[in-house]
Parts: sequence; C-alpha cells; structure tokens
Amino acid sequence: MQTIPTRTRNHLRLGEVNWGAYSIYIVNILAIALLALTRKNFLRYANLYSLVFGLSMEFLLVLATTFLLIMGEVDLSIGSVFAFAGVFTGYLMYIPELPIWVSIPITLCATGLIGLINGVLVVRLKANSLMITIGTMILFRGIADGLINYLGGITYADEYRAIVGFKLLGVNFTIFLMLAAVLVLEYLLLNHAAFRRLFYIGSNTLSARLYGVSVGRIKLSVFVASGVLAGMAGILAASRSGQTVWNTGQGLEFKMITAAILGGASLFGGKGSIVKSILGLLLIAVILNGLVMFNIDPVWTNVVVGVVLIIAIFVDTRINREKVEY
Amino acid sequence: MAENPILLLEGISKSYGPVKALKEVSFAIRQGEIHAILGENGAGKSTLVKIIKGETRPDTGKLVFEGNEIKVADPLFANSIGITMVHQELTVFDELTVAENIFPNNIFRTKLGLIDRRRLRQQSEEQLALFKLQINPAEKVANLPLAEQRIVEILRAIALKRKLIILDEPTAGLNESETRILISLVQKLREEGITIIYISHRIAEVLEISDRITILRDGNYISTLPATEVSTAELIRLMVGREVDLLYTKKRQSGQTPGDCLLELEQVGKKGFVHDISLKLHREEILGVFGLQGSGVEKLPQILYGLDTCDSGIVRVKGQVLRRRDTAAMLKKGFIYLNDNRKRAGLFLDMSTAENMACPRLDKLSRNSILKKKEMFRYTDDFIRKFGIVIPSARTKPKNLSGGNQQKLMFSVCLGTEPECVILNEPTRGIDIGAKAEIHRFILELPRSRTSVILFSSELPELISLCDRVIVLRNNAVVGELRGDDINEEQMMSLAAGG
Repeated sequence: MQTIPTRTRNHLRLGEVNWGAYSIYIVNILAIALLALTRKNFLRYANLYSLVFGLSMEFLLVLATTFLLIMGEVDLSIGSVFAFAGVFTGYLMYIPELPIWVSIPITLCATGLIGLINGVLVVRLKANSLMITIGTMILFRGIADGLINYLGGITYADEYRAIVGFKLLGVNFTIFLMLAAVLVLEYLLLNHAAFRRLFYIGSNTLSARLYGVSVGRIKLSVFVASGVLAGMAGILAASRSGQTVWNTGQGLEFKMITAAILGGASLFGGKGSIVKSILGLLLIAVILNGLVMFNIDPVWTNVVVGVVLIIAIFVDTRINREKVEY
Repeated sequence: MAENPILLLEGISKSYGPVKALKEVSFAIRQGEIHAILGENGAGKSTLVKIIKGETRPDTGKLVFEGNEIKVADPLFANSIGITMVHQELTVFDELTVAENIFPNNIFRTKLGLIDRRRLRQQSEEQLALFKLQINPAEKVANLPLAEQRIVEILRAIALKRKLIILDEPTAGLNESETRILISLVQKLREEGITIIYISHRIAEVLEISDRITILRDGNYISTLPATEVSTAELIRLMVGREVDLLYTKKRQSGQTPGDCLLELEQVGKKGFVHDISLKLHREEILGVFGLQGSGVEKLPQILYGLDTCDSGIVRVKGQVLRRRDTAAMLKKGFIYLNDNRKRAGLFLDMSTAENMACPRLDKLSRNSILKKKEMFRYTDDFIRKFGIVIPSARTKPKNLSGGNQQKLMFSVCLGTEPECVILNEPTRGIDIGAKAEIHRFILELPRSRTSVILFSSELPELISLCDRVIVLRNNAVVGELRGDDINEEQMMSLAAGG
C-alpha cells in the first residue's frame, strides 16, 4: 500500500493565519506606503523624526492605558493628570522655588497618589472605573486649571524646559526611553508572572480570585502606575511647551484608548500588547501627519480619528468572530 | 400509530474544523410528543439543538418543519415559525414581574399605547392557573427560586404560541420537589399539544417523562426508541457503547483511623447564611456535605475557602488561625476550591488551556518570575493525558471544549496545585455518565495521595459512593453527621428535610 505524505502539522495555510492579529502591522504599512508614494515630504528625515519624537512624548500614556485595559479597567483621568503634573512641577519651581530634582519626585508622588485614589475607589467601592475616573478626570482638570490661573501665563524655569532637549548621540533621550520601555515591557507582559496576572484578571476576575491572584492589590498597583506614567508624560510635555497652556492633554485619554484598541486591546479585558498599542498610536500619528501633508485643516483630525476607531472595531469584530462554537 | 412529524431531520452533518460534530443524522420528531435526546458530552446534542433552533447551519442535510424546509439559520426566524429553546442558563428579565416576563414586549396595550396592566395581570393569572401554579404574577422574578424562574421562562414560550420547545437540562440545579413541579408542567404542556425536545443527563427522569428517546453517540445517530420499551441499562449501553458499572455501591471502605486535623470550624456563622457551624476535616478523608437548597450549602464552601468572610466563630487551618484568610492564603496552605458553576468562574474560557493550568501555579512554573513556557506546556500535556481530556492541543481555548472536558480541565487546574485539601462543589453537575464515572474515580484516588476532600453535592448516590462521612445541613446549621452504613438516601433526606 502506498502512503501519501501528509503535511498538516506545522504547515500554515493562508486561510489559517489569524489576520486579525497582524492587522495593525498591515494597516500601518499600507498607510505609510501610501504617504511615501504620494507625498515627497513624508519620507524626509525631519518629518519622520518629529513623528517619532511626538510618539515618544505620548507613549507613557498608552502604556498605562494598555495595562488597565488588559485587566478590563480604564483610567479616563490620565489626560487631566498629565496636565496637572506639568503645571504642578512648574508651580513648585516657580513659587516655593524648589530645585528640579525635588519638584519632579514630589509631582510624581502626587500623581501616584491620584492613581491610588482611583484604585482604592475602584477596588474598595467596587465601582466602575469608567465612572470613577470621569470624576477624577473632572476634578484634576479643575485643579490644573486653577493652578494655571494662579500662575498666569508664565514661562517655566530653564532647567525644567531643558529636560526634553536632552540628547544621546544626537537623538532625544525620550526616543531611547520609548524603545527600551517597549521592548522590556512587551517581554515582561508575555513572560513575567506578575504581568500575566493582568490577563487572568481581565479574562475572568472571579476565576483569578479562586486561583489565588490578589486581584485588589494588583489593580491598585496598576492604577498607581497609571498615575505616575501620566505624570511623567505630563512633565515631558510641559517641558516641551515651556509655558503654561490651557487645555493641555484634553482628550488624550480617548486617543490612548483608541490606540490600544487599534492594537487589539478590548474594553472587556483579557487582551492587549504594548508593541501593538504603540503601533496604534503610530497609526494615528501617521494619519494626522498625512492630513497635514494633504493640506487638510487640522480641525478635521477628530473626524478622522473617530472614523478610524469605528472602522477598526468593525474590522476587529468581523475578523475575530469565533470560528469554533460549542 | 400517529405518524405525524412536526420536525424532520434528514442527513444532518456538521463539522467544526477537523471535528465532525454530527454525521448524517436523520430522525423525526412527532407532533405533540416529548422527545428526549440522550448522549454523552460531545455526542453532538448541543450542535443538533443549535441547528434546530437556527443558531448554526448544517453543512449538509435539511430540516423540515411542518412540511416546509427551513433554509435559513436564524434564531429569530425559528422563533417566528414556533421553535424556541429554554436554556439551562436563564434568560428571564430579573427586574421585571412574573407577568411581564410571561408576556414580554408589552403586547397588551391600551388605546393610548400604554401597557394594559389589568389585562396583563388577568392573562398571566389564567396562564398560571392553567398549569395549577401558585406564583404571584406581580412578584419580581429575581425574588423567585430557580425552579419558578425556569417555569416562568417556559410559560413565556407558551404565551408566545411556540409549537416546539427545546428544554435544555430543565431540572439542573433543582431539588426533588421542584423537579416534580417542573415535570408535571412539562406533562401538561404535552396535553396542550405542544411538542417538547427534552435534553437531560438524568436517565430516570428521561424514562419517566418522555415518549420517545433518540440516542446520539460520537456525532452518529444510534436509534430512536419508545421510552416504554427500554431500560436504563440498555440506554446507557447505547449511549456509551459499552457496559458501565452503574450500581451505586459504596466504593470506599472507611474505618481507617483518620489523620490529623487539616481544617477546623468552631461555631462559625455568617448572618443570614449559616450559623453555629462546627466541623473538622482530617487528613486522607472524604467528607461530604449535603443540604437542600437554602440550607446554607451555597455559602459554606465559599466561607471554607476564604472567598467570603464569616462574622463569628473561629476557623483553624492546620491548627492555626490565619490573620488574613483570603484565597491566596488558603492556596498557600494547600487548599483549593472547585467551583460549582464553571461558566461563571473556575476557568478562563478565552485563554489557552496551558494558561488555565498555569494560573494557580505561576510561581512554581517560573524562574525569577519569568515563566518557563516549555515546562508550562509539558505540565499541561501531563494533565491532559492523566485526566483523559479530549482536546486538540494545550493551546486550545476551553470555550471550545465540551462540558465534560471543561469540568475535567477545571479538575486538573485544581489538582495541579498538589493540594492537601480540595473543596469540591458539585463536581459532576451537568456532565454525562462517562465523564462522571471518571471524575468519581479521580476523587476516590485523592485520599491515596494524601489529599483530603470536602465534597458538596446535591446528588445522594454520589455522596453515598464516595464519602467516609457526611454532614447534613438544614436551616443554615449542621443537623447531623453520618458515617459508614448510615450514609444512605433515607437518612440523609430525612435529616435534610427535617422529617
């Protein structure tokens, strides 16, 4: 009898590839290719550098958002905390004239405390983080506005403004920071026991609790991390702008959620990747960059981002629809 | 003989990837009969039901309902022609009244378009009276016991003039008397001319209630038999394809001297749930806990495992009173809990089987907190083999497994922690005989590997065949403890019911 060699194992057929998992890569490549082919200016070093530099100012926020979404939680206060951190550091250096190496730690402790408040309210009151953080979002926007009002239109201290300009090998350190953080955190997210617990919590909180995962403690620490990360991003952004600016970071929280969802995270938890969230953020940046390249008025950016998010969710539900049911 | 089929299935096949869930299944369901479908988990029952209620389309074959072929797979269409299903998981509206649940969608309206409450009440009272049910139509459904909630759901199907009702495990989670009420309701439905497809694992119940029984095995149609012409043993043989030792015999010879005390409760209470519970669990014993619904058996396992706190009394774990007795602490002490509702908690349905297995053991499966993936998969494969879980690979998600295999996986997750004590809550609920026998075997092996068991079960035969000792609860308190030959149905029931 003749035997026919079978090639079923380890042999991926096209139809079996989970395209949903790669869609963010594909869409990014398509968008970049489109701009590269149609706009000469797009591929210029200065343009690409400013794109990446912009990302490196915001990526800390998408880290926080991704960690929380994996657990099925959100923190809508990050945009306000971002604004608060920038102006609070400026205040500390302006009025009590504290040195920068004291002001920044104090600010980060303060934003960590905000995260702790969010976390305690969510964990102890078992409240919906969406609701709670809407509360703290409004509260800290108010405090940030109050501080700006008190300070008036000042220019921040020189040391403060200098942070963001710090360069290594002619490249802004924030870009190195981003690359390192993304690689390390993605590895940890996939392999580190503590980070894996985020996925268990997001997949089924009750099951996680049954199997000894300290759900409350972990949620609390991630909310604290969210506050600190938002604080760091806010300090960098204020350093860059160099002065008090009204409405700093308004709407950033939704931009970050959009980026993370483009990168495969879900509001229901259990899913998410740092690399893909950053790629989601990159896609938004590329699209906004494209608008500029095509001379479209920036007032339309929200329209575009909104449409992209809706399309992403539509495509995601189509592709990831369950193939096997029982 | 009344050969009047309401539903004809002709050559139905359905595959999910490489798995053939149904192979050329053909049979007829007659107008006005109670037609039971029996089969082990994975036999194809759930797939067949999904096809009938229009949730999935068969790969080949056709469905003929009242002489017309059904071509679309659409649950709403199936509803519109009179097919409906009452699920194991309820789909009642908790916050609405009984009447509003029976007649949903505000079908009675006044001229102004407002809800005609008088007619709603009248109609639902009539409906309830028709089936001699004493339920207040104005009561909020959330306040009803499980059995009555299920009855409300069935009444809704009738009110909506459904002709074919699929009942999926309608008596699961019900106690004896509630089961009687439900069975008599189903029989009244037949008198009203409604056709019933009855899915249940309880063979005695199926034999009692149904007119004809169709047996499926491994996706194949085996046969359809009149219920009066077939015995329990015969049915089991047809379902599993082999003879099974069905007799509930005492499988454990107790009388060994018990080991030292693992867990001790001293007058533990929680207001409104349990009071004055004292018990001791020794090493290498199987301690059963029995109680009817509402006797405290729902809360006690949660208190034991530290999922819920008690507000009085002392709990000693290996002689120690723990300062913070949460699940993490109990796990560290060698305890683990098998949840009774695996859909709600106990598994991570969307994560891989390997990740499910790893959850309670993350620390042991990692070096410097970095997971050793290879070891994780080897560990998972070991358990898949050991417990005979039918699964394509360790990467498969549990949501794609049958109920019995999910249960075995949950068992594996628990036993993987190498526990000194497992608290089992209804370990065989809603699974077929084959898987049940296997799980019973696993439980019996536990004391041999120096693991103690606390077994919460509502199935008397299970307690009889497995336990060294049985504690019976009534009115939130312990009312008796049975050993040896005293562990029998009469003793347990009379203690539990207070007779």
